[in-house]
Amino acid sequence: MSHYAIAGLVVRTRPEELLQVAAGLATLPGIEVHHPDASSGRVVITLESDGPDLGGDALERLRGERGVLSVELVYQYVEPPVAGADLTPSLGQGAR
Amino acid sequence: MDATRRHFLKIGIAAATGVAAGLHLPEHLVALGQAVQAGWAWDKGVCRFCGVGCGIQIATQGGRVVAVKGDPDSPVNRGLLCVKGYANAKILYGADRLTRPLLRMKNGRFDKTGDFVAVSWTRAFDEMTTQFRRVHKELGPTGVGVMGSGQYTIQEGYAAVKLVKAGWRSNNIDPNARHCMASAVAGFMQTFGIDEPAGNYDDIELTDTVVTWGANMAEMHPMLWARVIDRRLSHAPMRLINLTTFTTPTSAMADVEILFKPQTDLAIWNYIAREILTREAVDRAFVEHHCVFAAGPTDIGFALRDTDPHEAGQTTRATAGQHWLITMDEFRKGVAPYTLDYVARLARADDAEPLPAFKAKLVQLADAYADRARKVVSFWTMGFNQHTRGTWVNEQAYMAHLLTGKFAKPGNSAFSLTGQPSACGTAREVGTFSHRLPADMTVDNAEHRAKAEELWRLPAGTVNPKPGSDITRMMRDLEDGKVKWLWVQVNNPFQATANANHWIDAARKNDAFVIVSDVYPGTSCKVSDLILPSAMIFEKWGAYGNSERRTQMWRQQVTAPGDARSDLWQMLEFSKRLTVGELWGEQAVPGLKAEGFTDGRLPSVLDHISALGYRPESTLYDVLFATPANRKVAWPDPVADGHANDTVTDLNERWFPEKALFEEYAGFGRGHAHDLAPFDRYFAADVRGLKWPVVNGKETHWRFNAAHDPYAAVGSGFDFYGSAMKRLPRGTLAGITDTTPVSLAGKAKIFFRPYAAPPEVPDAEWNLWLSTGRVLEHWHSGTMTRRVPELHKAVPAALAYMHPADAEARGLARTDAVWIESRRGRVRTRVETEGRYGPPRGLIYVPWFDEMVFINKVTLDAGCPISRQTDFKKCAVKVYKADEAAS
Repeated sequence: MSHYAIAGLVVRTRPEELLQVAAGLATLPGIEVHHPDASSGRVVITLESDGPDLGGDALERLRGERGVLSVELVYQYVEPPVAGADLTPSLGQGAR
Repeated sequence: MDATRRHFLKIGIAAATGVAAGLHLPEHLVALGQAVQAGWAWDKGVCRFCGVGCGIQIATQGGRVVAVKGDPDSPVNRGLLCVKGYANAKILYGADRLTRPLLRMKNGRFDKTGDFVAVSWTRAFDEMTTQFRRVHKELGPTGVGVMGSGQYTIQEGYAAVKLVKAGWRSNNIDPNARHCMASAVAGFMQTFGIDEPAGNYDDIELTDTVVTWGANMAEMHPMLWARVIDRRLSHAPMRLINLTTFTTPTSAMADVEILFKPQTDLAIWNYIAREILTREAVDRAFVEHHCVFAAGPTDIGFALRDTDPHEAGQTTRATAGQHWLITMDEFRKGVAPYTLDYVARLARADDAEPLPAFKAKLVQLADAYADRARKVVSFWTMGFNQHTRGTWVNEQAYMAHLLTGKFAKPGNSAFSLTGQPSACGTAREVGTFSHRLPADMTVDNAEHRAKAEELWRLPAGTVNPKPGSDITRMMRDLEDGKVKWLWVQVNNPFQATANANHWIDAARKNDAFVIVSDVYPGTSCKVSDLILPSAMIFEKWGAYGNSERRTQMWRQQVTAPGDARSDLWQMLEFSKRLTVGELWGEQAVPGLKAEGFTDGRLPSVLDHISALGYRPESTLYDVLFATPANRKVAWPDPVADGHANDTVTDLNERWFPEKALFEEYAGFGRGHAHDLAPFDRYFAADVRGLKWPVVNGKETHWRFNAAHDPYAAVGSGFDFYGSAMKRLPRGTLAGITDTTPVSLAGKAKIFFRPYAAPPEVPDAEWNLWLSTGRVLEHWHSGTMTRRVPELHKAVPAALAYMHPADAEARGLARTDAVWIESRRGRVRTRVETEGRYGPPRGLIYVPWFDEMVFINKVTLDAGCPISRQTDFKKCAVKVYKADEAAS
């Protein structure tokens, strides 16, 4: 019975600074960098936490990172703390 | 959770994020994104928060919302959301959600001094009815009122208007949108004779310039700001100019930041106009064919009480909205004094900024408007609308755009951004204002009343011709004992209204009965006598209209907790308890004066009800809502696609109120340039809302432009076809000289409006400006967003943002506890001299979301006399050190 939350975010940077900013973001706790898109200056990151929330501090920190023009949340997944609830998504073929 | 699943979720969500954001990803990643979501039921919806109206997708599983994502097919936000967007899932599940009606009681009876006790809905409605009859008997229709909202769904707002204006024959219904964009409404109506913007959000991708005026878009309209940033980074000529009274995150991306002294925006516009004229940058053909010039009285007051000393010498208060035609030469005379030198000295906010540097920025601003080749979009929000000359400053924005012909054209737009999700769709379009009827009609217009009475099947003379009290006046009425029964719906006015100490005292001390329908126990609940637990957005069916005229709908996704019920259900159930016999007899209405009416009286219409098939014992439910026509709109309905409707279930009915009332409401606007599509169309898989007017199935992107708007006369080029206030006398800047009315059919007005100082300005004792406003993470009074842990953690409290030199001069250091005090009250908070806001010396900024830092006890309830919207941006305060231990 624990909370688990993952957010999918898109961070905007100036295109020429993208890789440098992405590398910086990757060092932050709970954050993984996934899909940098050099042409548009956007990068997808995930932000995960085991608490009941994503950690507002992390969002604040992201916005304050050098080179970050904006942070937009695209996706939010939350597991409610319900004992015995099985919210595990079924794994599609080839997903493992 | 095991590491494999965690990894799977992360990769899958990253892929789904990339797809939603429109990035090109390899196919195996796309498949992975889909696999993560297996087993969830997705449906489209719209964000609960601001007026941008972002499209979202909501996932439910096991009767609970489990995920939210930006809708990639939404033309508004294109798959992205701001930090508040994801809270759409979490706001439903706060720990202290209201789930039972709560009545103040002692010894088993209602008692104003009692504690809240959980009661049944039947007991709650019984008390509401008893109290309604008591007050209605004592004070008549003006003794009861509703404070509504720009967060009402369209159907809720429509039901509320019909209940109050047709059923109770009172016009005392006004939305908190009065505090949000009433000035935008008044400015638009006076300029164009019809409400709602010409342009749309797509102007961002078509323009060369965005000028933000009193609008911190980066935080308050983040998804539109993301589009502005994209345009800035991808279109070389694109420039951003930010006019503001203190530095905000919007300044960070701006090419030019103009820090101006509060209220001097009025003077800056006139400088721009003067430049447009002297540089001969007027679009002469556009102005000649489509515009006239106008002016009005100047000493119009500040919407304070008549006895307030600030109103002394304000000689034209009674005719604040009156205006007349002037010549272009008169207009030129009006703006002549607003030279660069005069305006720069008046407007410069930061004494440390060299005057020549400030002047150079004003010139750049004028360049943007005057350069014929440059397309310009002006955006504004609360800085304009919450302004003691809010209507004027809105009109001035249209003035500059009309003079240069940069209006109602792709990429050229002057646009008021709204703060609430359906301020446009419900407050403005439905007309939940005290003076309005649906589709821009007003209660003081005999033709409009007749039209409403016909569509509503009411006897002639039912609708009260005297406008009701706006929301601030209703608070004053409560204090004066003129309103004693008040129902607050979908808003938190006891925290949101300026000079709040008065209204809280009035609610608690007078013999008033205050009902608050809410989802969490906010400030208004605490001062009420009866709390009704409401269903939240995805616990009911609904529709919102965003700032660009886009109407969007959603289905109910989950069931509300406990006894919480939709606001629509609450109104329909309550309407079963009142009969036309007790409401439609002769009624006293103090101050009523209208043609065809005896002064101070509403006539009995009971002699005419039998012809319509009603009897004195007919309930308002049967007469207004469950009409024979509406009962034909059956539930269940295939459009539900398996979704429930608890409003219907709890009414134990077989008709579909949300659909029936929407279609009935749409009858007001169809054929009158407000055409909405059929209800079912909004649920079609390929529709993400539609911008009205929707004519022959097609939405309208640019109003008044004959190439885009089917209501603009063919061959006209542009047609400002709005009909309100389109017959005017003639005059000079000084007043009317010829009362013969001139018709301005098809034309827009270019107003001259002078600079006017605000009523309260800093002095030796009250030596700082106070501006209030919002922060990205919180919405409105924080009742929802403060219950989302990460939003609360990000901004846990409202701080007083202050210039370091102002802090030092008062012996204050960062994080010190301070009192912020005005002539009206004081609040305690902490000083912040760093962070995201940078006020110039002489001004502090305090956000209003935090009920623990109740800043509206400090603010002044002055406002625009035309729009009756409060100016929350300007009053005078002092700041001094507070006892640290008290925290």
